[in-house]
Amino acid sequence: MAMWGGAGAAGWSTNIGGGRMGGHRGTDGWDDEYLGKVYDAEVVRRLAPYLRPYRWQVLLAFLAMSVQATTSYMQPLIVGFTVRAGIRHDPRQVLLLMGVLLGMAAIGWLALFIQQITINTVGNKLLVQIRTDMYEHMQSLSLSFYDEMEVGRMISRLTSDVTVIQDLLTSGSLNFAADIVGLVIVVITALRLDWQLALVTFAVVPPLVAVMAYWSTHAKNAFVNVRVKVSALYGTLAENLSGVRAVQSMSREDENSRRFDQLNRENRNAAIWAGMLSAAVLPAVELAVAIATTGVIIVGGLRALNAVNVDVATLFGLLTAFTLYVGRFFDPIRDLVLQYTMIQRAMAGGERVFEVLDTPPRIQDRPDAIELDQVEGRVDFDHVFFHYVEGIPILRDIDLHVAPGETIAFVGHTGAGKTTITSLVSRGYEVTGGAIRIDGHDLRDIKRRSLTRHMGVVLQTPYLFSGTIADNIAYGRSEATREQIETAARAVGAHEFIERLPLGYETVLRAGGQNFSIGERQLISFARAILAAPRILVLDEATAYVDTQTEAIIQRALRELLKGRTSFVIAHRLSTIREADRIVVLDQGSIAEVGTHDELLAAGGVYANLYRMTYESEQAARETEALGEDAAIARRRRGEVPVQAAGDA
Amino acid sequence: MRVLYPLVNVRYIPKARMKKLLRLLPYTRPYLPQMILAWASVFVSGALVQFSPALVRFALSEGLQPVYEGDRFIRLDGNAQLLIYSALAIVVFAIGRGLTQFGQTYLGESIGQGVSYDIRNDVYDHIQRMSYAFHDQMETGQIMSRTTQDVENVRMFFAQALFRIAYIAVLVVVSLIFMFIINWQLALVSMVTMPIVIWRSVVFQTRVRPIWLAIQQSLAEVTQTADEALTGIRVVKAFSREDFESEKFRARVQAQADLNLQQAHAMARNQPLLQGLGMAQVGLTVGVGALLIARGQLTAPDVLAFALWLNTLQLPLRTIGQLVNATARCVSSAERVFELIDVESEVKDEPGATELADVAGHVRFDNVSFGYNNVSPVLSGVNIDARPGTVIALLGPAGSGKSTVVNLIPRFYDVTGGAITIDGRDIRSVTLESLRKQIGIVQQDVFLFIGTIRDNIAYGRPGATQAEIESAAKAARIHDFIVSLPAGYDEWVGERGVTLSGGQKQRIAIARTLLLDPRILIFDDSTASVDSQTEFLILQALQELMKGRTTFVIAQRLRTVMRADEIVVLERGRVVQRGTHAELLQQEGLYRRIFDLELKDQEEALGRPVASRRPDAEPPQDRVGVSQEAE
Repeated sequence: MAMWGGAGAAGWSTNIGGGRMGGHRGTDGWDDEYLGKVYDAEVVRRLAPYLRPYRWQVLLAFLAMSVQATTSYMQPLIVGFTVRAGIRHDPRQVLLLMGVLLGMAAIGWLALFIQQITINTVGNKLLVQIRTDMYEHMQSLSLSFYDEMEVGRMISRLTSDVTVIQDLLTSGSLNFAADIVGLVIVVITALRLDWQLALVTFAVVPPLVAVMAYWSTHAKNAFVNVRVKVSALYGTLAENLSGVRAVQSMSREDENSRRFDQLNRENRNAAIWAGMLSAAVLPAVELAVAIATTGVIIVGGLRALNAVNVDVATLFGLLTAFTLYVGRFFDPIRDLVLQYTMIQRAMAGGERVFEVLDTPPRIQDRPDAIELDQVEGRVDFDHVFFHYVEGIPILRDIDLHVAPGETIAFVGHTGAGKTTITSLVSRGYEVTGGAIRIDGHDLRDIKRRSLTRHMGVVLQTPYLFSGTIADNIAYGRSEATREQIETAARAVGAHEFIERLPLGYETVLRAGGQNFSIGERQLISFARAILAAPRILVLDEATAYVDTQTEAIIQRALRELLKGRTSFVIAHRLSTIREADRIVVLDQGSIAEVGTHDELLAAGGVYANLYRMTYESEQAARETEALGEDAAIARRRRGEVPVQAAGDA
Repeated sequence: MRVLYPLVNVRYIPKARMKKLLRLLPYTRPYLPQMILAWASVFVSGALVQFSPALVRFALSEGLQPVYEGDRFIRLDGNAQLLIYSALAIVVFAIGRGLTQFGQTYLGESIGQGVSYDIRNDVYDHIQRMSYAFHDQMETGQIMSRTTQDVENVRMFFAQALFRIAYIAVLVVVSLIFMFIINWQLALVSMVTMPIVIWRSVVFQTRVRPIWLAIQQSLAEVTQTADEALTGIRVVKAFSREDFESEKFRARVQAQADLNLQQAHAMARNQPLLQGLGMAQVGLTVGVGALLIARGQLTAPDVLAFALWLNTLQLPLRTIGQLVNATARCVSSAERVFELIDVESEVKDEPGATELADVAGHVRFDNVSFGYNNVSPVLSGVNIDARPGTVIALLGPAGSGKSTVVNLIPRFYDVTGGAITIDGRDIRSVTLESLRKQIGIVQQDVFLFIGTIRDNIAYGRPGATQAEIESAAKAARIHDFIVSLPAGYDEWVGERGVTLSGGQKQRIAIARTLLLDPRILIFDDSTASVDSQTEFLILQALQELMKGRTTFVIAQRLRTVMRADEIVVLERGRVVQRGTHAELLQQEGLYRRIFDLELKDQEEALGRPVASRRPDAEPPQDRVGVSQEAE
């Protein structure tokens, strides 16, 4: 079984939608269309444990299925007997046999009822079981896994792949077995009734199977093609609808209509082709039935005509039973051919499900990992190295010792490794060299859960969950009282806007909070972080998307939030950075400089340079616009005296 | 415009429904020959199918005639030739019926596909030309479901329901005629379960449909729950809420499983019963038939033929419920689709609209007001005079109407009062396409399409050459980044492609707009979200973009607007202040307040002002204060 592997996710590409604007992007992917073996011992072996608790129910279902199949497939024989009894002028036996037929109908009904109820109950329990297992496992995987994997693909594993397995384990395997049972009954009965007629009937089977097998490979490709076309069509549709403003602003309507028409047409043609192929199955099977029927009538008839002694009752009884059997004989064969593809698909689905379950969490607690009850907040980076891919270092020899309660700001260009450092602290990734210690304990010796309990994170893009505002603030501490929630909201300045809402804290966030501005969402996530009362706090560009007004509120909240906690702050706004106890300047994965704002500016290194890049242009503008004067007035108003900067290089 | 919201839960009026169904008729016109052939196939195949049992009966009863003396069977009086020929006729009929059945299915499918193809194209063409107001109101999901699921329902009606229903009717009628000709008493006996089967099948469908819909809904919730937690896995992990999320997910999955089971129970109550009834009907008919044989009123081939007819009818009768349901679904779906097609865009070319060409770029707002309704106007009495090549900055708090002002220029919405003119011509008197060709827009939320970077830059001009694309990218300060990617301009963006930062996206949008070479430019600034270096690059790119164009800038921060020719400050849809930066600073007002707020921010950041490093720094001649040498 293919593993997910580090660099890529070979076995993970899904039937992607997506309008493609020009040509195709290689031939990778489409593995939803990849069909597995018909019998994959590994998959079956892995699935068995899931079925074990339900073995009695499964047995019952199979029993019921056998009874039902027997009643159904024995019917033509009894019909033959009934006709024979009629010809023999034996009304009592006719009535008796009619009773048998009706009884069989009733038994068949009951058996099928039991079968369906039982197997569906089991099937749905399996569905819940497998999905929950997968989900828990997915959540346990490290962040580097999530970096590589699209959530959409994970979800298709959770939904459609599990569903095909459920189908295979339940109705699929039962139908398969029922077809086999039916086929066996028909073959044995036919051979015992009249081996000559039976052989005449069977003679049609090989060509039929050959034709069907040939057909099914073609049909499979055709249906795969339809799926691809449909998803391309719908993907383009969705994309152009979401981007309709961009489309209109660039007057792309005609071009897009042309392309949509193209995809629409391809979809139509593919579907018609697939429809044509599937329209051919039934006539093929019915032709086989007709040929076999004709064979039975001619052979049986001529034989009777040439026979010396004929029992007319037996003859017609036999012909009746046989003609009815011929119609029945081909149903299971057709089903089996059709199920071939379905079973292949289920095996492929099974493979993918176990791929998920077999992905080892990259970060696992050691068996002897300790529980961290109290955290003071001392963080030591001991010569930390990190890389995602061997040979491409992201962090190099980071050596930094942070005292409890200290605020550290990370500064550097995009890609300097700022976010990576903070992710290492919460053990979203594992260091590849050196060690990070909290209160002297190596992170790898601490249970991850007990570590994250003491950490709070506010990300650049606030991520909220559906539910009420109160739910979201209490996300990290579900037992929090309303007072505690409000206190947290007050502390970060979120209380005001929440109170103004008609439903206040009970306002429901729709679609991840899209009904709130990004600033408001960020305030909620600040409240969420503060309520969790972490000892160590990570702010990753937390105010980047926020407008000036909201930022002013957050600035105030920040002081509250950082008080007494060890904090790591990534920000591009210098006002935030200035307040840090120490500023760590990262350059291409290494620490370039460490110091306070003033020290660094005086040093005239990377920081001073960065700093100038940001503010010089305004400064220039201000001065040329005689703005310096205004600024000076403004500053004087606040009683500040301008001082010449020392950072000139 | 018509409000579309209520449609979601609308109760349909039966009379109107029929009309909607009739509106589908024109869509079938191009497929008239296929229609006629399909109908012919329905009748021929239905008849041929039910002729087969009659042929079996004929072959056996004419080919093998038992001779009786009184009650005693003497011998078999056979006609081998008749037996062989009539048996072979079965195969011939099977070929005929195979062809017609194939024709029926295939033609039905191609008509359905053809109709849905045409409808989808119509809907798409219509929707993408609808005004912003429409798209503001309609959720994308709503349009999607109408264009996909509803159109699919219409297709299913043509592909399956329409012809299948007729086909089943033919099957029933033809077999009943045969049965009644052979023996009317047995024919009556054979009809006993038929109404029950049809009735149960229809009832079942109406019962199971709501469950099925609930399952779909529930599945969507499962997906959404997983999506939310897996997308936000960083937050989940940061707060150690994995167990909570697992439990939430389990509950959703369990809810779906419960519904599945409910559906399974409904099916188990129905399907086995129908199957049992089918078997019982055969038993009953054969039993009574055998009694009639015993009485000498019927022969064995007669009974066999009855049994064969009953077998062919069983499955089709059971599907009637589905077909009836598909028809009902088609009606309501057609209604929803036409509703979409019928909505008229209130922004469209006026009769006699002319091309807008050779534009100098003089944009005037003449006492413009705008509102979605009469109660609360979004803009009122806005006057702006943007002479060719000037920069107008729009400033104001969220909801003040800045975006609306710029959205009125390309007629994404139409003014509700006053007029907007370009070079003196009312924009409503020119064609939409020629108007929008003159206007380039860089939106705050840059929307990139799935495709290569090249495709995206050339989005508004699909025919652009590589050289043109590259020079636009260079001007937008994004070329260096693009060539640093493994596949360069062929790198894919979007879902499966490279992830771009906000600043990179914006520069691609600038390149894409540069390539359009518009006379009028609209820039919705979002440089707040990028780091200083990127911001620098964007400002440089922007400067390139604004050269010689009339520009409207919506700014988040003052540094973008300070050098504009005119700054228009909006508050609640009205112009409250206007003038240059220097003029506005002299006045008490919103501009000053914003300025102070930002200045304070900067002051804090700087601690002390940095003197210009370059005493020789030229006052930049460009309207936005960007140093050219920074890169």
